[in-house]
Amino acid sequence: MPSYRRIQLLALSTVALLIAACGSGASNYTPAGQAAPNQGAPTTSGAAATGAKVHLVYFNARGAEAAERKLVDRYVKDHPDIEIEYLSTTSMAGPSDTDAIANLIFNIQAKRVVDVAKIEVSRTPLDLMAADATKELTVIGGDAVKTRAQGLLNSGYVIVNNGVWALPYEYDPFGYIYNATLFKDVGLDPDKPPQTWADLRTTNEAIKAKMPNAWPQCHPIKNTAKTLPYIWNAGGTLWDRDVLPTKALFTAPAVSATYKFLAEWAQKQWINTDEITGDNQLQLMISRKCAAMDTSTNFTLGLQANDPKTDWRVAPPPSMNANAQPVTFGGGSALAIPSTAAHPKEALDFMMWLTSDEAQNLKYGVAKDLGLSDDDIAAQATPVSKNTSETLKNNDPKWKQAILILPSRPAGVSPAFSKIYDILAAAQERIIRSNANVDEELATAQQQSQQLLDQSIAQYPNLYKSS
Amino acid sequence: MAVSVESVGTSGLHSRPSSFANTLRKSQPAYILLSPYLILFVIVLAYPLVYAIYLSFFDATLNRAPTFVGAGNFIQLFTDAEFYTALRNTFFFAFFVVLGETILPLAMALAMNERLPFRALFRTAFFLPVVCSWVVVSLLWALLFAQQGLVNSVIQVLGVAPQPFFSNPGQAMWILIATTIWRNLGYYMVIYLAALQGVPQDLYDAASVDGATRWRQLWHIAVPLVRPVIYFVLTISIITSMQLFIQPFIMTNGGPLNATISVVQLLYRHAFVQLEFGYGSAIATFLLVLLVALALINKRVHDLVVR
Repeated sequence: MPSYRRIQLLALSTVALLIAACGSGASNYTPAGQAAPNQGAPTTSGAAATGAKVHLVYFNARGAEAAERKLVDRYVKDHPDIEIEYLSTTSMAGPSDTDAIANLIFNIQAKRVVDVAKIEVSRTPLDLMAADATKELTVIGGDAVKTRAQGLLNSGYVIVNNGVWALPYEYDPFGYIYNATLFKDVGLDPDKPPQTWADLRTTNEAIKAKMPNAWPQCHPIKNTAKTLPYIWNAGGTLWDRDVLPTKALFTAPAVSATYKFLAEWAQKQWINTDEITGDNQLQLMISRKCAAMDTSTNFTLGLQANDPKTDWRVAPPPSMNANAQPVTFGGGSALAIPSTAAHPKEALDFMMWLTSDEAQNLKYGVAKDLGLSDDDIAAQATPVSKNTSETLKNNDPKWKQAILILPSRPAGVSPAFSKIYDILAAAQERIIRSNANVDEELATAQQQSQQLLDQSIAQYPNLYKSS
Repeated sequence: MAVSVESVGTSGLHSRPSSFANTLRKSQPAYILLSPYLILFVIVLAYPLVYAIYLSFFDATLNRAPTFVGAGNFIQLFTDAEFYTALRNTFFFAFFVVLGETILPLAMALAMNERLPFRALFRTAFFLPVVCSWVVVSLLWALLFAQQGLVNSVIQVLGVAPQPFFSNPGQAMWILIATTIWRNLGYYMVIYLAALQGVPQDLYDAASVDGATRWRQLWHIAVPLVRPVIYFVLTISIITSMQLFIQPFIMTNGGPLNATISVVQLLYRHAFVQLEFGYGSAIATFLLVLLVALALINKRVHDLVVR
């Protein structure tokens, strides 16, 4: 009776409250595009014409939060007719980066408006293309976009099938990071880092002789991307072409020679036995366990910050022979316009500004207007603008050793990219840890990878047809 | 009380509803109170579970509509060498962890049940790791056993060569096992302790009068009476250890040479790194069946022992 009714009322109220709380939320935040009245029907300039602000949605699936927010604020301040809704996804190394991209693709598939997406540069533009989830930029911006893309570092990833599918935004090249102080201590010339494989052998032997417990050459054991520069700089390649490959060429002589070189490092105990991760690489370098490391060039910024007394430097990945023009693998980020963009023209304007020298100078602290801290700046790889890179390299002693202006090569990106890289990484681990037969491992990996490539070609005929 | 009297009386005057409907009506307040949980249960557990089983029969990824492949994912699963490696690792890990988590906490609870000096301090110390998150514990142990970690520094001082704990396939899994047992000891100890404190003192007194030593009292009185709790610990320990994920994910990433990759980690790689939702769901479905089977076997064995 009274107590029964009271319980019933209380329970019903609780349920109603919970459902209401789940459904409404406490803020006026609107998920990207959900409440956008013009969803699916891009209205590029109408809003501005009627006096209303153009509402852009900027989805950051890649991190560097502080700089992005301040750049957005600056752009909005300079463009009073634009308002930008900034959405971020937690972005850390490894799997959560994949989570962020998956989150973006889910949003696009759910037809939510996203005008600009900051994405991982190597595989994501192709993933979005394969899903018809991105717009080709020259259709919106004409030749100016192509000119801009070609002028940026890492453009090879985004110019596909004669179209521009994204603009490179942050450049994360791999280099040979070395402890110049340690080089000096063991009798090596710190101004002459190894340029060839022969130099590298001499260097590693010298370090091992003086420091038997150190690893002269630290290199991720289960990783394909950081081995690629060695393959390229031996004159080889894993694929018949750098973007959307159709043939795996792992048994080519230069590829075999590269993996045999890695096996030699292991046999001579030059290479690390612990895997190199984001968590331990700083410790391994500062403790002098590693004398050098193949990793992102902006890692030197972290080394300088944590151990300023040591002379940290960066050099191009060594080539097999002298006179070779070294290239490297460049990761990083890019900016794309998803297919669900409501304001592609304004989105492209924003992207063109973000990749301009003006914005890149702000982003990387050449111009100090944004008030970014050193940590904020170091968290975003290196500039894609060649001018900004040159300015930093020539004028800022801190950046001098973090910037490597080398051409990068697309790494054989395709929808099968991630799986094939795992196959090669596992083979590399067996070669290094178990002294597995290099040629047999590469032949098996090639066979498995070719199957994946063939499946990819069959599954995405339109993607390959025009390439 | 007044509620049930009124409701029974009223329904009895007009009609005679079925006993099920009557029970349902009487249980209405309970269901209403449970409904927030039940709604969430359906949304975040029941529906995804059923959908995952459904998805395990499809080739599904983000970029295109799922394609029905029948038992294709399961055929791929049972011909996947990496899956067998992960399964073998998981069973190896589970065997030693379950052994450790069943026996060591019981021994500790028996000790903590005695009137020892600083007993409260010991209990707190043993329970403390339980309140640390798995991520913190895993990072801590990874740093301890790293090439440059504290353990290697200490053994070097003692004249032993530094050990490649995380680069030797024969050692890495043992570190994960030790980490897991250390983290969970306190939790299971508290469960055992609660059961031991429910054992009537009279039984110990009677045994003492009969001349039983303290060891015999523990073995013949305490242990048999906490047998249902041992069964509970076994079941929970089997289920949680078969779901091994965080420790290898953080400490070894499944290496070296896949020596620590677990079934759940393989599932994660396929479903959320390779975005092969169908294949990932097939692994999840297999794991579900395996865990249910293990729990049933465990119950059957327990029933036989009790009988």
